[in-house]
Parts: sequence; C-alpha cells; structure tokens
Amino acid sequence: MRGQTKWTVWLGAWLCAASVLTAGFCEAQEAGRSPSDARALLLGMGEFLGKTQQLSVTVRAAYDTVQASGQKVEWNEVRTLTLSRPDRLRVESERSNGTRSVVVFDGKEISTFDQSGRVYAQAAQPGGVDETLVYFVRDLGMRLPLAVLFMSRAASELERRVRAVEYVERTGILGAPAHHLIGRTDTVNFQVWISDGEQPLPQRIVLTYPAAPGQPQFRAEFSAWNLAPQPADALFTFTPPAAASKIPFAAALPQYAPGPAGAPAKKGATR
Amino acid sequence: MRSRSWFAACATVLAFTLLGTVTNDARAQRGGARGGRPGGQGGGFSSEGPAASGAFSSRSGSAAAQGAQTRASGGRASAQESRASAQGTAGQNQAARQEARAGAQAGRQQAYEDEHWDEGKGLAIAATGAVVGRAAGAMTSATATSAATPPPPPAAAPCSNPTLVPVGGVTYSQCGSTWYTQAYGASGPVYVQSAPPPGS
Repeated sequence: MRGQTKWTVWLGAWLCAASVLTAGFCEAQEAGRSPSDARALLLGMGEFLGKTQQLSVTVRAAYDTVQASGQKVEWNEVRTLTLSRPDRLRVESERSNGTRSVVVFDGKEISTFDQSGRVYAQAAQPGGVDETLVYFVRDLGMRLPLAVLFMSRAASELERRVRAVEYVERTGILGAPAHHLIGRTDTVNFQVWISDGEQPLPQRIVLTYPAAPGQPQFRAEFSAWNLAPQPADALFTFTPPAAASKIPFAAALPQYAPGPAGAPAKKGATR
Repeated sequence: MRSRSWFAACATVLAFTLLGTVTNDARAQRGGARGGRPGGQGGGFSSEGPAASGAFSSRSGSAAAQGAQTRASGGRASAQESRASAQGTAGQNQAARQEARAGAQAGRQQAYEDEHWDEGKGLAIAATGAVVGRAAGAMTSATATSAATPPPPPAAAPCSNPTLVPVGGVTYSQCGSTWYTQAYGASGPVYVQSAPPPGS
C-alpha cells in the first residue's frame, strides 16, 4: 500500500514536470523563434521577391524629416510599381502635395517625368532591372525607396547588409497572418512584417535611422500585390508629352563651385 | 480716494494685458512669417533627410563619417606627399607609400559605395547650397494623398524675373550675375546654380 502511494506521487510529479516543460516549449515556439529562423524568413522573402518575374504592388509610404527647430514633419507618398524581369520597370508616384511623377525603364533608356512641371530627364541605360536600379539611385542620385527589395538578388543584398535579425511575434493585426521581425544593418534599424504562407511578401516595413538627428523613420505599407500582372508593352514605353521639356539629371551636371562674391568658377569643372 | 486707487490698479492691469496681447501677436506673426517663408524647400519645411531615401543604408551613420575621413585622409596624404617630394629621394619613397595608402583608402570608399548604393547619395547632392528651387513647390505635411489634392505649381524660378537664355537645348536662367539651370534632382525638378552658358 505504501509502495503504491510512493509510485503515485512520483508519477504525479513527473506528469506535472512534463506538462510544465511542454507548455514552456510550446510558448517558446509561439512567442519567439530562434535567430536562424528569423534570418531565414527575411532571406526567404528576398529570394521569393527576386525570383518573381512579374509583379505589381502599391506602396503607401511616409517618412520623417527633422526640421531646424527639431520638430519632425511627416511626408507621404503612394507609389505603384510594375516590374517585368529582366528589363522592364515602371513606377508611378504621387506625393502628399499632389506632385505626380513616373519613372519608366524599357531596357534601353531610363526616363523620369514630372507631371506638374512638365519636364522629363532621360539617360541611356542598357541592361537589366538590377543594374538600372543601382544606376538610377547611386549614379543619377534619384529617390527610389526600398529599391533593394525589387532586385533579382534581393536576398543577397539583404544578407550582405543585415547584421542581426530577431523574431518578435506572429500577428494578424495587419489583416493577414504575418511574421514580425526586427533587425539592423550597420546604419539602419528595421522592422518587417512578412506574410506567413506560400508567398512570403512584405506587408509593412519600418526603417529607423538611429545616427541621424531625431532618429527619423521611413514607413511603408504594401498592398495590392499582383504576381501575374501581365502588363502591356506600352506600359514600359515613355513618350514625352508634346509640351514637355527635357532637362538633365542634376547628378549629371558638371559640379559648380561659385567663387567669392558670386564670381563664376572655372568652366568645365567636373566632379 | 479708494475708488481712484481701484481705478488706477484696474487700468494698470488692463494696460499690461493689452501690451502682452500685442507682444504675443507680434511673436506669432514673426513665427508665422518664418514658417511660411520659403527656405529653399517647399513651404519652408525641409522634405530632405536620411529617411527620405527609404534605404537599408544611411550616410548619416558610418558611411558619411567614413567618406569624410577618407577625404580628409586623402587631403592629409596629398599634403604629406608635397612635403615628401621636397625632401628628395628618401622623401619620394615616402610619397609613393602615402599615395598608395590614399589610393587604397579611395578604393575602399568606392567599394563601400558600391555595396551601399542605395544610401541616398542624390539627397546629399540636393542638400548642397547649389540647389535653390524645389520644383515641388509648397509641399504640405498632409497625412494622406487624395484625388482631390490640387497639383502644385510648377518649378519656382530662382528669382522673380530671370533672363532666360537657351543654349544647346539647355535653358539657362540669369538672376543678376548668377546663372541657374533646371535639372532633375533626387525628388523632382530643381534649379541648380551653374556656370554661365558657353559664349556668354
């Protein structure tokens, strides 16, 4: 009788311990995954985007600028991006002040047109979308937020930059199940919400610039993802409107340094 | 007598109150003028900054510092190189070493820029004093775009009545003795201070 009681106590203790351990393990699975999982999710998103041959998406973005007074101003914009690899890209933008512009790459030239000013700039750019994105942003000095995500090598671009990634939680607060990750590069802290499912697409991204005064943020929400848009060729053809004027890219102008008292600098100075 | 004292006290309080109101109004007006005066960017508010790039790299962090350091190092190397060449043959070897070091630093800087191509170099160009007119016009800090938002006015001229001189497909604007060219900047058309047109 005494032996049976002892055995029952031991069994009960083991069951309690097992249930506590199991509950803890399940909670850990739910609340926080290992760092390797977080990195795999991030790079999986990059690989999926990079392998997608055609896509269109609407990006509603906002970013902060810190004024001289220290006060932040939030600027808003909406971009619709249509991509057809290897060498077609169109980005239509509308800023919060009503300015509309379009960027078109047709495999030979990249053109950008400002509708309110009725001016456009154009540069020869043979090659694919990847080279063109780098040329447009780095060499022509133009804005194209989150350009990295639309390269075919998005995964390797992210892998090279990202120093740490952590899993925050699984959430459905944005409308569809998503993995919420945080991470950092050398100079940027980021958060990303990636759809949980067959198509690991970004739902939302927040970038924070910690070294900049006021630590401004860039925030973007993605919607209307279409991975089979079948765009017409005309979408990637830029025909300047009749009344539009062609102007150079500012980055392509020779650098000009005015002399003292407004005296012109020597001609032909190049950067 | 007592009523006179009360009257004087009330009048004094009223006078101070009115004076305070006028002073506050003046401050408010000055503040309003500051807020509304174009400051080279739309609406007097700057719309340029590190976050505008939406990039996974930023020049505000180590990149800008590294660039400045590299440029400074390059300058120091050049100065040292000049001193070394004046010291004869032994100095020439030192100058060659300095030159090689400066070249290596420039190479590293180039490699850094290749790797962090999205960090918003164009915004740095836009931030230079050479850019005077934002084509976007008065940009507001509205929280959302709307189909009803009226389009902004076209690019503001660099001065009220510039002399326009078209040369070789480029229109130069002259304001006094200063010349400008319209160009496409990071976020739209801008006026950039330029050299005079050829032949002027």
